[in-house]
Amino acid sequence: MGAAVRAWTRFWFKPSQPGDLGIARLLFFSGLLVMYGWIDLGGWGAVSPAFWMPLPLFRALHLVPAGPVLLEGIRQVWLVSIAASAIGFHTRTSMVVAFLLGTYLLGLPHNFGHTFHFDATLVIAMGILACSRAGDAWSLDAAMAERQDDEASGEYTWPIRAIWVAMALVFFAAGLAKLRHGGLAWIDSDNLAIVLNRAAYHVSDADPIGGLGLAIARHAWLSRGVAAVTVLVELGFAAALFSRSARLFFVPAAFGMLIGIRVLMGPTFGGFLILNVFWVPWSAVLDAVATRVRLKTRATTAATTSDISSTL
Amino acid sequence: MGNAMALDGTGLSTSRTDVSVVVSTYNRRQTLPRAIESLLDQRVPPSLRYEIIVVDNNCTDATRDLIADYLRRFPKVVRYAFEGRQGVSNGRNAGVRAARSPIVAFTDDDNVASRTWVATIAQLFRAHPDAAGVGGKVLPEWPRTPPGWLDQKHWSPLAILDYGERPFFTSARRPICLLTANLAIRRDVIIRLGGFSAAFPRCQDHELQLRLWRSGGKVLYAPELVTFAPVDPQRMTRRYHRHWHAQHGLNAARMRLEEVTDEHGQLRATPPATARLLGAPGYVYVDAAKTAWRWLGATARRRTARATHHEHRMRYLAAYLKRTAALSRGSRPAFVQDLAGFARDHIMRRARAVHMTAGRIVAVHALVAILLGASAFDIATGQEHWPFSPYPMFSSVERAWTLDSLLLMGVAADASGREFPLRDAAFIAPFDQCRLNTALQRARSSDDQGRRLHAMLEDSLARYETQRERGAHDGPPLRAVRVYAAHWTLDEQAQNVDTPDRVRLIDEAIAAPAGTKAGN
Repeated sequence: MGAAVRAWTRFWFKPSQPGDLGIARLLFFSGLLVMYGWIDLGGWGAVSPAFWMPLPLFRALHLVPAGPVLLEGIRQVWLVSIAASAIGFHTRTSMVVAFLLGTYLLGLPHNFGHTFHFDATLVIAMGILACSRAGDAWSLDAAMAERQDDEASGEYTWPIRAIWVAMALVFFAAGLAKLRHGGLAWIDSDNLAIVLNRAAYHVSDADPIGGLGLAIARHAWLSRGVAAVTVLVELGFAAALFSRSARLFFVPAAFGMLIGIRVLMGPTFGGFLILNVFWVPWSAVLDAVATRVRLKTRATTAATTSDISSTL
Repeated sequence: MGNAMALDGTGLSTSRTDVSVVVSTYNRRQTLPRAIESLLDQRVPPSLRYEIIVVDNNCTDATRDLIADYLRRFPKVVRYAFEGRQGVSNGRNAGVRAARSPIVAFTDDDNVASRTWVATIAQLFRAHPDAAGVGGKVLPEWPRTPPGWLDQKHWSPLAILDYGERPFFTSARRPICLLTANLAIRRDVIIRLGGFSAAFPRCQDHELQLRLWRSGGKVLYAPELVTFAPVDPQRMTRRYHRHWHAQHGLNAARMRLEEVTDEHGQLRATPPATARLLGAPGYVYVDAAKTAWRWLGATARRRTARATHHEHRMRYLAAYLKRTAALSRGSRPAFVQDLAGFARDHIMRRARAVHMTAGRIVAVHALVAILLGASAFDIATGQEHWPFSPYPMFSSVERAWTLDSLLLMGVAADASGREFPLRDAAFIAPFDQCRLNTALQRARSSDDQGRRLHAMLEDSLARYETQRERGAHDGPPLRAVRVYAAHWTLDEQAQNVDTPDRVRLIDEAIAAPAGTKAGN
C-alpha cells in the first residue's frame, strides 16, 4: 500500500524545475494560435436551428450559438488570451479565459449533428493548464517579477503528467473500442482495407493525401499489419506513462500514426500533434544543445590557437 | 469552571451597603474617569447606600494613580481591589469577593450609567424578590453616523443591547443573554454558581447566565435600566465584525450554544440526540448551508445589510463547526480519528516533500479524479460527454466493399438543370461533407416526418447562395438542392467516387424564383 502511494505521489508530484512546463506552455499555445488563428467560426452563428443537436455539456449549461458578430468577437478575445498564455502575460488569467472560451468555441461545431474528437483533448489540456502554475518560467510574468526562485516543485510536474494521462486515455479508449466492437476481426479481416478505400469517397472531414491508402488497401497483409500496429500502439501507449524506454517508442509511434491517419484517411488531428510538446524534456534538450555548442566553440578555438601556433 | 472564584465567603462582612458596583478595568486610564463620575453622580434616596469597587486587573498605565485620587476624594464610596490574574472574569470575581452588599452590579470601564441606575437596580430587586438578577439596555454613543449595514442586527459585536420597551424575564424557557455592561446579580447567587469562568475570556456573561438559567434562576430585563457605551470607530468596520463573529463562533462552540436550546428556543436539559458529524449536530451543517445560500441570494440582490448579516452568521457557524470538531476529537471513534489524522498527516507530509501546499495537493487530486472518472465512465458505458469520449470512431468491422452514404446535390438554375455534388467545403461552409451527412442522417432517422431534413436542406441552399453572392465560391446559381441515398461498389482506384451504383431521392428543397437567393 505504502509503495503504491509513494509511486502515485512520485508520478504526479515528483519535484521538477518550472522550465519544462514553461516551454511546453509556450509551444502549446503558440501551436494553438497557428492552428486556430485563421479559422472562421462565425458561420456557426448563422446555421439553421434545424441543425442544432446540442452536446450534453452545452445542453446542461444552456449554451446556444451566438450570432456571427458576437462569435467573431469571442474568437478574437480567445485568440488574445491564447497569445497572452503563450507569452506568459497575466498567465493564470489568460489560461483560464482561454480554457473557458475555448471550450465554447471548440465545442460549438460539434453541436450540429456530428461530434469530432480532434480537439477534445486540447480543451482538457487547456483546463489542466488553467489550474497550473505554467507561467512561472519562460513567461513575461516571470521576467517582470524578476523571478529568481527556481525551486523544484510538484507544481511543475502534475500538469504535464495530467496531459500525458489524458492522451493515454484517448488512445486506450480508441484501441479498446476497436477490440470491443470489432474484436480481432478488426485486425485480421479486410476491415482496414475497406476503410481505406472508402476514405477516398469523401466520407471524412478531409480527403486523404495521395493514393497511398488505396495502395495499402490492395494488399491484404499490409492493411492487416497496419491495423495490428494501430491497435498495438493505441493500447500500449499507456506504457509510456511509466517507462522511459516505452516512451521512446510509443510517443513517436503515436505521432506517426496520427500523421498516417491524415495521409491515408483524411481526418486531421493537429491538436493532438501539438500536445506532444508535453512529452519532450525541454530543459534536457536545451542543456544538450548548449553543451554541444560549447564543445564546438571550444574545439574551434583550440583549432584556431593551434593554427596560430603552427603559423608562428 | 477552571478558575472559578473561591466559595468560602472569605472577606465577607455584614451588609453595610445595599448595592456594590463592580468595575473591572485594565489600562483604561482615558475612559475610566467618565465611568466612575457617572457612578458617583447617582440620584439615590437617602436610605440607599452603595459602593463602587474599582478592580485593578493588573493595569500597567496610570490607572492605579487615578483610582488612588478617587479613593482620597470619595473614601466612603470608592473602594479599590487588585486582581493580578489577567482577564475580566478574574477581575469581576475579585470585585464580587470584595463586595459588601447583597446585590452586585456590573458595568464596563468605558460605560456611562444613567443617573438613576443604582436606584433603579435596588428598586427592581425589591419589587422582584424572585429575580436572581436584573439587566437592561446598553445604548450606543456613536462617534459618527454608523454605516448603512450596521443596523440593530449587528449590535452584538459592539457590546450594546436594546431588547425594546417591554420588560421580561430571561430564564431556561427564554434564554436571552444580557450584557455585564448593565447587569446586577444577587451576590449569593454568583457565589453559588462559582462566579465568572476564567476559561472564557469572552462571552463570560453568557456562560454565567447559562449556568444561572440551568440552576432555575431568572433575570429581569428592565428597559428603564440604562447605561451608555461609546462605540469605538474601529468596531464600525466590516473587518472587525467578521473577526468578532468568527471569535464568537469559537467561544459558542465551547458552550455548545447551538445545542443548548431546542427548536422552541428553550434551554435543553441534555444535548440533543441527533446525527452528528465531527461532533456537531447535522442541523448545524444544514443551517450553515442555508445561511450560505441566503448570503448568495442577498448578495446577488445587492441587499447589503442582509448579506452582511448572513455572512457574519456563516463565519460564526464555520468557526463553531471548526472548534466543535477540534473539541470532539477525543470522543470520535478511534478509526475515524485515525483515518482523518492519517489522511491529514499524509497529505501534509507529501505536500512538504514536493514543495506544494496541502490545499493544492487536494485540488490536483480532485482534478485528476474528474479526468480519470469521466474518461473511465465514458469508456465503460460507451456514452459521449464531450470533451470526454469512448472514441468509437472506425471501431466497427466493415465487411462489404460497398458504401451507403448520402449525397447532397445542387441543381443549377440554368436551363440545363445540371446536378452536381455539393462536396466542396466552400459550398456548404461552415459544414464539411462528413458533418453535414451525419446531421442529415440523424434528421432522416428522427420521427418528425422529414420536416427537419427539409429545413436543413433549405438552410444548405440558402447558405450556398449567400456564399456565392459573397464570392466565397464560383459555383452556378442553384434552383434546388437534393439529397440522395447513394450506394457505391468501391472501386479499387476510387474512380467512381461521383458515380454511385444507384441513388434514391430522399428530399429536396427548391428555391423560387430560380436564381434568386434561396431559403427566404
